[in-house]
Amino acid sequence: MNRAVFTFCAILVAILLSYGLHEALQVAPTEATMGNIQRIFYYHVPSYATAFTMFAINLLASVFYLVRRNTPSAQAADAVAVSAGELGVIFCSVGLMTGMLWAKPVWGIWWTWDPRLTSTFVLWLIYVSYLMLRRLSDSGQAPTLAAVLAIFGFVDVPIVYMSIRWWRTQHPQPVIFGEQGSGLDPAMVPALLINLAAFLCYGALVFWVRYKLERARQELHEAQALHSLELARMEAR
Amino acid sequence: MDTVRSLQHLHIAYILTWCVQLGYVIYLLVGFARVKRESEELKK
Repeated sequence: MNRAVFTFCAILVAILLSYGLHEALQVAPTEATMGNIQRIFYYHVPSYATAFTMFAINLLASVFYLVRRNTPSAQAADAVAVSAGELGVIFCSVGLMTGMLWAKPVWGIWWTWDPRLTSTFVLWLIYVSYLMLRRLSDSGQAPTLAAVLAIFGFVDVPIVYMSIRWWRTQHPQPVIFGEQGSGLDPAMVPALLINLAAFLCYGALVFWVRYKLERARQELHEAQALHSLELARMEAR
Repeated sequence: MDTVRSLQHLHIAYILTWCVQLGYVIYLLVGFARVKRESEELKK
């Protein structure tokens, strides 16, 4: 993607995000029970949707890396995995924060250890540990170990998604793909869909930037390793 | 429900979301600058 295309995409995403903000704060109707605080929903749900998408990309890239780790494409897969993992943590953190800010006025508490919240917190911890493993380990095996952790870590994603269906929770029951009569008010659907699209597009754009950074880092590390080898060879002479 | 506090929480949630995202974008830009600087040092 060249600079002009990237700038064009960034402008489109900014317009989409602004439109989503307008829909969420001005156009969508006020919810009868909770009032205006329910409008957090239009950022809370898209944040998690983007986080789960990123974790799914991280899983696919990790599997690809493990299968093809002795081929030239492995480094690109590793860059995709780490970029998606990092963005997943960012969006999951936003989901957790917006959730707590929503919970306090509605439930009277910032946090409760119910299955949905706990499984989400565990998911966040898993991917934070994934990033820490990658950042702190000096071993050449770190990408392989991280890829294995990513595969096991993803098991928590369907648990988070299904937790409000499997157990009785303080967290509201599903409004999307839920039981009959549990759906969202049709007037709220456009704001949700626009913000979902906006967050996914924004996530894709930042993912691309993060991927380019990771590839640049990989190239730099290769060049540094070659340079060190050259120096060692010259000293040996 | 305290309407004023609810509105405060709503605004904080929206502002915090974009503070986190903006912070991350700045972190990426700093990363690019560091890679560029180290590449130039290596070329010297």
